[in-house]
Amino acid sequence: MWYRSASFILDKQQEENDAEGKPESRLLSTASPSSSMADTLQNPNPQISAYYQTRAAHHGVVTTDWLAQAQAAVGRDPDDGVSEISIISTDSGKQLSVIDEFNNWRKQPDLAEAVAAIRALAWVIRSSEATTMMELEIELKKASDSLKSWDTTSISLTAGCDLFMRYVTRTSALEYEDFNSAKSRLLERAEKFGEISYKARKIIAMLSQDFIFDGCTILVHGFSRVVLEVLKTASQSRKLFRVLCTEGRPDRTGLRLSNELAKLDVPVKLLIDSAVAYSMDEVDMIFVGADGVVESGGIINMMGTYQIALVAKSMNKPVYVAAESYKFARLYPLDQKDMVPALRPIDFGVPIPSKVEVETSARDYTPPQYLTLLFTDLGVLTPSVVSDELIQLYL
Amino acid sequence: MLTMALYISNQAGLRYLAGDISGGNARCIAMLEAFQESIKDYSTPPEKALIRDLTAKINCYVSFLIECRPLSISMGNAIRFLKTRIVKLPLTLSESEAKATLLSDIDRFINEKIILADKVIVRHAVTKIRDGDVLLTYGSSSAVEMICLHAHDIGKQFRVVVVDSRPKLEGRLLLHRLVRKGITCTYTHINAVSYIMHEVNRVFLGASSVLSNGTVYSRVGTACVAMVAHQFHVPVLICCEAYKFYERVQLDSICSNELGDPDAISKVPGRKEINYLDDWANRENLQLLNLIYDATPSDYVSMIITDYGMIPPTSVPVIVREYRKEHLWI
Amino acid sequence: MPDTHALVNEFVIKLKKRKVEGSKATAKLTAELLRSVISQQRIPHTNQAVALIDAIKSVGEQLIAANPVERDGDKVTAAKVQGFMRTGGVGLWEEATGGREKEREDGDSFGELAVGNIVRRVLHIIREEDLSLTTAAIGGLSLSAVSDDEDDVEQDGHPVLSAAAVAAAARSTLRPPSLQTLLEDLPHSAAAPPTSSSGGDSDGKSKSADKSSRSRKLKHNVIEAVNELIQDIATCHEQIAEQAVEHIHQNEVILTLGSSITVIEFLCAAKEKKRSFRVFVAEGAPRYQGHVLAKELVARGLQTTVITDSAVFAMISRVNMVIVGAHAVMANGGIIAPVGLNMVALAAQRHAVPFVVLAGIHKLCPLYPHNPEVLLNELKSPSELLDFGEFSDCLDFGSGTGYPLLHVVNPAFDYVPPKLVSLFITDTGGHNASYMYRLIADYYSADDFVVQRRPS
Repeated sequence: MWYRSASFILDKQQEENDAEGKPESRLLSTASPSSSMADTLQNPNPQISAYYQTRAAHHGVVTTDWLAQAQAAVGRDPDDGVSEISIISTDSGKQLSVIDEFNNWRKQPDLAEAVAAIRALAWVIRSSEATTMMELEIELKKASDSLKSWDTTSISLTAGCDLFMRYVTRTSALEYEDFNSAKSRLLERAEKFGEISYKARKIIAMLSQDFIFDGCTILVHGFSRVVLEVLKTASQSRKLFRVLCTEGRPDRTGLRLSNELAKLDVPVKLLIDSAVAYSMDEVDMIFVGADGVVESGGIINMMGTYQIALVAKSMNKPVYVAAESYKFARLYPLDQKDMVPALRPIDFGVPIPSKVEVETSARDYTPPQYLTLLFTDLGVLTPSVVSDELIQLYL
Repeated sequence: MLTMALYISNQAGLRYLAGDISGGNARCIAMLEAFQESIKDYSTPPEKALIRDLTAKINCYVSFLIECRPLSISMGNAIRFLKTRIVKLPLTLSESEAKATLLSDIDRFINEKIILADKVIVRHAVTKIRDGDVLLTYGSSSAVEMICLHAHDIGKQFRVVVVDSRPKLEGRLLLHRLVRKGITCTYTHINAVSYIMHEVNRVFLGASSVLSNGTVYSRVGTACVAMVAHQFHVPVLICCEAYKFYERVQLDSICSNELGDPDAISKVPGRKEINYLDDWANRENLQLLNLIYDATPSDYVSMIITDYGMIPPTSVPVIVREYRKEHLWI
Repeated sequence: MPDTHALVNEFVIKLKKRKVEGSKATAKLTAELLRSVISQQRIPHTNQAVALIDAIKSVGEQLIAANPVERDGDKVTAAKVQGFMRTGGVGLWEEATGGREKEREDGDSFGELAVGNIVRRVLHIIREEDLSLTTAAIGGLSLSAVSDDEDDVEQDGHPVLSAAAVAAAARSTLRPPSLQTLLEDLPHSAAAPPTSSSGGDSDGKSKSADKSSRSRKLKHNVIEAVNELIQDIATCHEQIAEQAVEHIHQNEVILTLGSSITVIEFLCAAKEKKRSFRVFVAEGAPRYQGHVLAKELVARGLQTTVITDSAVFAMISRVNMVIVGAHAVMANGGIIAPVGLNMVALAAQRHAVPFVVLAGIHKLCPLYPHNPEVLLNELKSPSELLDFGEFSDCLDFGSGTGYPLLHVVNPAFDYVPPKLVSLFITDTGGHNASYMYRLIADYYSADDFVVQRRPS
C-alpha cells in the first residue's frame, strides 16, 4: 500500500482527467481570469464532486497500477502546477483566489473542510479594502457564495460558510465603534476556528469513551478523522476492544483505517462491504462519521452508511455518529435522490462496456430513525436536538 | 351582544353559521376582520377602563361565535394574541390611539402570520417538487392549493391526485380550481387511497393545528392518508403556518374533537336511492357519528413546512418556545 | 346437448349483466349448472373422467370468460380503459371494452372469482372420484388377475403393478408435486394404463360389464359429491356463524366496513347467544353498503353507530375487533375485499386490533396475486364520485394535448396482504393466513389452476 501526499495525487488525477481527453477544463481555468465574473465561475469538472475527490485523496489508497499510470505521466513537475495557479491568482480577481486559497487549505489532510473554508474567508477579510462593516459583510457574502457554488456537493463547506456569515452578521450588529477592532476580532475568531475544530474532536472523543466498554466489537465505516480520534483515545486509555472495518469501495477507506488502527495495536478485522449483515451478530455498536448532519437529524455520509444503519436497526444494534457541530446544515432531504448529486468515478479494474451504466453517487442519506445518538462538541445529542440547534442559530 | 350580532350578521357570522366559511385561515381572517370592525366602532362607556371593558366585550363576542360553531385552534390562538395586545396597551394612550394601535396590530398579525407566512411556505415547498412528480393531497387546504398553483406557474411538470371524502366533499372545490388552471388531476375517494398510492411521489397535507408532541390535528381522514403513505414509503409533508401551533398534547382523536351534523351522513346528495337511514332519529339503537377532525401521529409525518422553514415533527415545541419569546404570548 | 348450451348461455348472460347477487348465490348457481352439465353429458366407456373433465373445462372457460376479474390479458387494458369517464351515457368507454354493457345495478356481482373456484372444485371432485373408483377397480381386478393368471403373469409384456403401487402412483398424480414423490418413478400414464391394461388382461365380457357399471358409478359419485358441495355452500353461513360465540364477548366493540351477509349472520348469532356488544359500521363509499348493513343490524336489535370511512383511524383506538367479509381469499392468504379495507387493516395493525376475515370455502382461490391492485380489481363508473356536468370540459379527449385534464378513479376492490390478517374464520373452523395453502391443496388439483382446454 502506498501513500502519497495529497497534492501530488490531486494533480495526477487532474492530469489523468486531462489525458482522458478533457483539455477544455484546463483551458477554462486559464481563460477565466480574463473573464472573471464571480458568479459564473465553474468547477472545471462539474460531473465529479471535488469534495469527494479530495476525501479520496486524503483517505484513500493508491493502487499499484494507478501509481504506474501516474509515473508514466511524469514530466510534469507538481510544483509547476502550484506556481501556475499562483501566477493566475495575482492577475485575476478576488473570487478566483478565494477558491484557490480554499483549495490550498483543503489539500491538507488533517484539516476539516469547514476550517479550510473559514480560513479562506479570513484571508478575504485580511486582504479586504473595505472601510465599513457593511462593505466587509457584502464582500464576505460574495466570497462565501462563490465558494458554495464552486462545490455544491460539500455540506461542511456550505455549513461552515453559513456559520461564519451568521457570526459576522451578529458581530456587525453589535456596533463596535471601531471598525478595525471589529475586523481584528473577526480575524482572530477565524484563526481560532482551527483550534475549535481540533478541540471539537477531542471533546467528542471524551464523550464517547463511556460508550466503549471492555471487550466490545465496533463496526466502523468510512474514514472519519473524528472516529479515528475516538478510537485512538479509547486505545490510549487501555480499553480492550476490537474493530471491524468495512472495505469502503471505491475509496478503500477501510484499508487506510485498518492501517492506522494496526499502528495503534488495536485488533482489526477487514470486511468487504457485503459482509456487514453477516457479521452484524458479533457487533456491539457501529461508529460512523458524517459529511453533514441535516435538519431532520439524519446524516449524509459515504455510500454504504444507510445500508449498515438499516441492518443495524433490524438487529437492534446502536448506531453512533461522531460529528462536529459545524457540520449541521439546513438541508432536509426527503429521500435518497433529494440531494445535490455527488458523483465519483469508480474504477472496477476491468473494462466495462459502454452500454452498462454505473451508479457513481458517492454518498447516501440515513434518516434519523436509524440513528441512536450523535456525539458532537455540544454534547451527546439525540437526532431531534439537531433541529433545535439549527432553529436557534438561524432564527 | 347586539352590536356584535350586527357586525357578524353583516359579515362573517352568518356565513359562518351557514358553514360557508371553512378552512382555518379563512375563518381566522374573517373573525379578525369582524373584530376590527367592532373595535373601530367601539367607544368606552363612561366610568369604565378601556382595557377591561374591551376585553369583556371581546369575550362576549367570542362566546357568540362559539355558539355558532366551536372555535378552531387557529382562531383560539388569534384571540389570545388579541387579548394580550389589549392587556399590554400602555395606560397613557388615548382611546383613539389605543384603537389605532389595536387595528394596526391585527393588520400586522393577519399580514405577517397568515399571508406572508403562506408565501414563505410556498417558497419552501416548491423546492421539494421535482419535474415528473405525482403529488397527492386530501380535502381542500389553502396552503396546498397555493403551492400547486405556484409550482404550476413557475413551470414545473407534475400532476395532482385529489383525494376526497364524505360528508363534506371539499376536494371537489380544490379539484375545480386546479383543473381550471390547467393542472392534470386525478380524483378519487378515500377508500381508494391504497389503490392510488403506488403512483404517488409526495403527499402534501394541510393542518388545522399541530400539537406539541408533533401530532397533526386536521380534517378527519388525514390520518388514514398519512398512514397509507407511510406504508408505501411516500414522504408526507404537512404545510402549516406557525401561528397554528398549539401547546396542548393529544394522544388520539377521541380525546377532544368536534362533531358535525349527523344528517350529513344519512343523506347522500345526488343519490336518492341511498335512503336506508332516513329515519335514523326514530331508532334508538342507531347513532350517526360525524367527526370533523382527527389526530395524525407524528411518526407518519416526514416534515412540517412552516414560515420558520422545514422542520421535523419533533421540533414543534422548539418553534412554540421561540415563538413565545418573539411575540410575548401567554 | 342443446339443453346444456342454452343453460350455459343463459347463465353467462346473467353473469355479464351482473344479475346475480352475492358470491354465495353465484357459487350455488354455478354448481347447479355444472351438475346439470354432468348429468346430461354422455360419456364414452373409456377415459370417462377425461371426457367429463373436458366437458366441464369447456363450460368453465365460457363462465370464467364472462366475468371481468379472472380473464387474463385483457385485464390491464380493461382496467386502464375503465378509468375513462363516460361521455353522455354511451360512447368511448363501451367502445373500448368491446361493447360490453355495464349497467349499474343495485346488486353487485360479487361472484366473479367464485365462479372459477367452483369450476375448479368440480374438476377436483371428478378427479378424486375417478381415482377412488379406479383404485377400487384395480384392487378388485388385480385380485382377479392374480387368481386367474398366476402362471403367465408376464404374458402381455406389461409388468403387473401391485394395487397399492398403482393406487399410490395415481394418488400422487392427483396431488401437487411434493418432496415425497420427487424420486419416485412416476410414468405419467400411470393413471390411464390401469384402465386399458387391466382391460387387456382380463376377460372381455366381465370388463364391459365392469365398464358400464363403473361409468354409471363415476357419474353418480360425481353428482353426489357436487350435491354435497351445493349443500356446503348453502350452509356455509350457519357453520361460520356457529363460531361467533367463541370470538365475540360481552361489551365488545366491533368495527366493520361495507356489508356482507356472512358478517350479518355472524353478528346476529352472537347476539342470540345473549352477548351484548356495539358495532361501528363504516359506510363504505361510494356504494354505501354500510348503510344497508346498519339498517339490518338495527332491525335485529344491535347497537349500531354509522361512521364515515375517513373516521376509521380516529375510531379504531376504541375498537376491540374488526370483522369483515372477503370477496376472495388468495393462495398466499391475502384477500380481495371491498375497497377501503386495506386502510382499515393497516389501522388495525397499528393499534394491535385483531383483523378477522369471514370467508366460506367457496371463496378460496388457488391463484397467487401478482399486481393484485390492477389485475384482480374492477374500476367502476366515475359518475358515482363526480357529477359529470360540472367537469365535462376537462374530460374531453379532443382538447389540447389529447389527454384529458381529469381522471377519475373508482376501484371496487382492495388487496389486503396476509400479514395484516389475524384470523380466517371458514366453515371448517379458524385458520391462520399461512395455512391457506393447505386448504387449497385439499380442494383443488394443480392441473386445474388454469382452466383452459389443452389443444388436442
